[in-house]
Amino acid sequence: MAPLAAAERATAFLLEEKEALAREITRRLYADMPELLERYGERGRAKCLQDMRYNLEHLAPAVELERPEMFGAYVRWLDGLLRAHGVATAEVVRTLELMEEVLDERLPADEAQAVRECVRAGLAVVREGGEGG
Amino acid sequence: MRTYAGTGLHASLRSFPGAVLELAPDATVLDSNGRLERKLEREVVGLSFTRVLDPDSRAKWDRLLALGGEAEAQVWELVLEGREFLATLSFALSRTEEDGRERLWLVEYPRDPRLEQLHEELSATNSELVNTKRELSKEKARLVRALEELERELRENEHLSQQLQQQNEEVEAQNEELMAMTEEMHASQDQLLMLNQQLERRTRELQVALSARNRFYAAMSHELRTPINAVMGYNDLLLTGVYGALGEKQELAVERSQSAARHLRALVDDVLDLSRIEIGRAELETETVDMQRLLEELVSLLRPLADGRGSPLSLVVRDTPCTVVTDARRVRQVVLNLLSNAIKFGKGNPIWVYCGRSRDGGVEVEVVDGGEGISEEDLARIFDEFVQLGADAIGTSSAGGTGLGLPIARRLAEFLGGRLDVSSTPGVGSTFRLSLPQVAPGSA
Amino acid sequence: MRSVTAEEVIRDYLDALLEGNRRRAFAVVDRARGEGLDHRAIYLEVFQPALHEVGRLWQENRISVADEHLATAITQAAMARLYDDLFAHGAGGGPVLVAACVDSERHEVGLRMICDLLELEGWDTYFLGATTPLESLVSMVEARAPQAVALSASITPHLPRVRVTISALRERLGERTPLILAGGRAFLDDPELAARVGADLTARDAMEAADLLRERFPR
Repeated sequence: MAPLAAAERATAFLLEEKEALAREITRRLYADMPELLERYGERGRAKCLQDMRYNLEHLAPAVELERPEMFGAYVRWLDGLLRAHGVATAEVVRTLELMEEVLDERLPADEAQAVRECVRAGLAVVREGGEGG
Repeated sequence: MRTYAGTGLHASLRSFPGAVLELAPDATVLDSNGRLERKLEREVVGLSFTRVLDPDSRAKWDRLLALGGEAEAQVWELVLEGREFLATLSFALSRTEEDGRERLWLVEYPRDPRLEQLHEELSATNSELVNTKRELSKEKARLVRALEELERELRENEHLSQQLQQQNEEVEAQNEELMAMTEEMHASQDQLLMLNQQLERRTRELQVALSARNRFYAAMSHELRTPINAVMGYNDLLLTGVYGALGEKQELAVERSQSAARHLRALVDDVLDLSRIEIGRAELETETVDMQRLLEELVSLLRPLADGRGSPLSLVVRDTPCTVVTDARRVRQVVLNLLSNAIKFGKGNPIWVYCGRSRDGGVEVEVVDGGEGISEEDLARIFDEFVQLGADAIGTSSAGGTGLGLPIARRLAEFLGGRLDVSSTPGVGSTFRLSLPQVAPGSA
Repeated sequence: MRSVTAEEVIRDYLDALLEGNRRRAFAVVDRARGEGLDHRAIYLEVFQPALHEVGRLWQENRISVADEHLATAITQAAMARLYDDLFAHGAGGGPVLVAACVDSERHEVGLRMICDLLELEGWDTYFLGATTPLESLVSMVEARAPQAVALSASITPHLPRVRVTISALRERLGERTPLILAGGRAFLDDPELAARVGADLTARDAMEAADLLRERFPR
């Protein structure tokens, strides 16, 4: 069998390690933005972890189908939803930056590249159009 | 920030998983167990609770309070609006009165995570039910259509069935008719058989009678011949003067007697001849006969008689030569009979005699008259086996004998190996045809 | 002749949904039917817009997940009540469609609506519903030999499953693979995704789907 393309390998990793990745990114986010705990409490953190899983679930198909704009569309929707819930766009920005960081650490170069393109498409959406925090 | 040791929230309430708020009747939040979102708490403790409600919820809150005691023990959803926060929480409202002080208690019902799952399960179940209903409806519609189709077919079938029934009945009726006809046929057949048997018996009887008659005739003619010969002998003797010369008157008388005797003998000869023919003992004397000459002779012989009747006689010979090997005397007998009948019954119309060769080398002689003709029924009987001895004879002639009836003529024709046929147009005329073979049977 | 407009009906209907009042919702539908709205109009101008609005409200956090589920459940029940009538009006004897949500997908209402509308046009539809196991779907398609297959996915994470499903179908059936239609919210933003996952066609909603299939398989 021919070696799988980088995109396919990256996708597999994202889905297999979804839980561990979600936890790590959440942990880093809360470490970075302690006010979150203050504001939303433990319940909020649990919700944040859940959202992180969704983020990764939506990143995966964009990576697999090699469609960065797919993830960008998701981020646009997510931002709108969170803002309606009173969550600042800055949180979304930080989340995506940390996501890129964590995945860059854990993936070989070619896979990281495939993922980075998609995450950056999402960042582009919230950096330009979103409200700063 | 207020401390929680405040006005008296019980220790157990403090560890309650959901937010618990103690409120004054005017909705001022007096105490909290700290479970409310921190930010909200800052907004609310010590202040009116309604500050953090969205407009709809504020209205709902007012209604709640107005309900008084009935508001208790129900779960209300209130939307809390903070500057940056929007949340829907479920509360139960309770009232207490202690030492004359009325207190309102808001107790949050934390969402059981299993509720979400339950929702999902219910949704899934609901969907399945709808799918089942869909399949059932579709199947039902299919069945209805199939039933309608079936009904249509049944009606058609019934129609066909009725048609078949009708046809069957018709066939039955025809069958019955057939059976009746068959029975009739069988009855007729039986009858026919019986009649046949009768006929055979009669025929045998007749044959027996005929043979008897013929033998009688033969015997009688012998018997008759002897005395006739004796008479004729004695007449001859008398005429030759053996017994003395005869006077004129005596001679005349004896001659007349002789003539009568001769005539009588001819009659007896004919009868004998006929019976011989009938019993098959007659003999043919055959020779080559020129039919043309024979017919010419007969025609000229009878012409005076025909002219006397007003029926001109004509002979037409179609083929020459017209010869056959046959018994001339017998042929003359037949033709003579035919001609005399034609003259007798011709009603004065012309009579033709045709003679020609037939296909098989034989000869055909036709006698055509313009008489009354013969009807269909009579045609069948005209040759019947009833011997009429010269009952219709017209005069006598020493050459032709006494004249014979048609049955005799036919027997003679057959004797000669030929046949005698007749066809007729009633009211117009008749044609008698004598067919003769090229060579008569038994000829050398 | 319609003495009531679809707009009036949908306002009433939506109110009933958001109240969670199924009896009222059913009454609104019955009245609309009585006033002459046919099944197609009720589906495309009442049910479909109502569900879209409910979804939008949930997304904007105006209503909770429970509200959304309840509204969907009531609408499904309202549809079920019309089924006897709907199928009695179906012509039958037309081409065959097998429709399913991929095995990870729970949202089946939209796809079912497409099937119901196609039944009205004489299609013979086999609706397998949500979370259809891959092997079941492939076997069913093999057994029924439909003219077309419709697959549904609501969010992008389900797209890979659509791709796997279509591959499995083409592998099993080869030349005999029927026309494959892929749709759902996951395809809305980027219609080219349908081709990307191996489908032949995509449609944005029930009406478009029905139009496309009618074109491909004229009666």
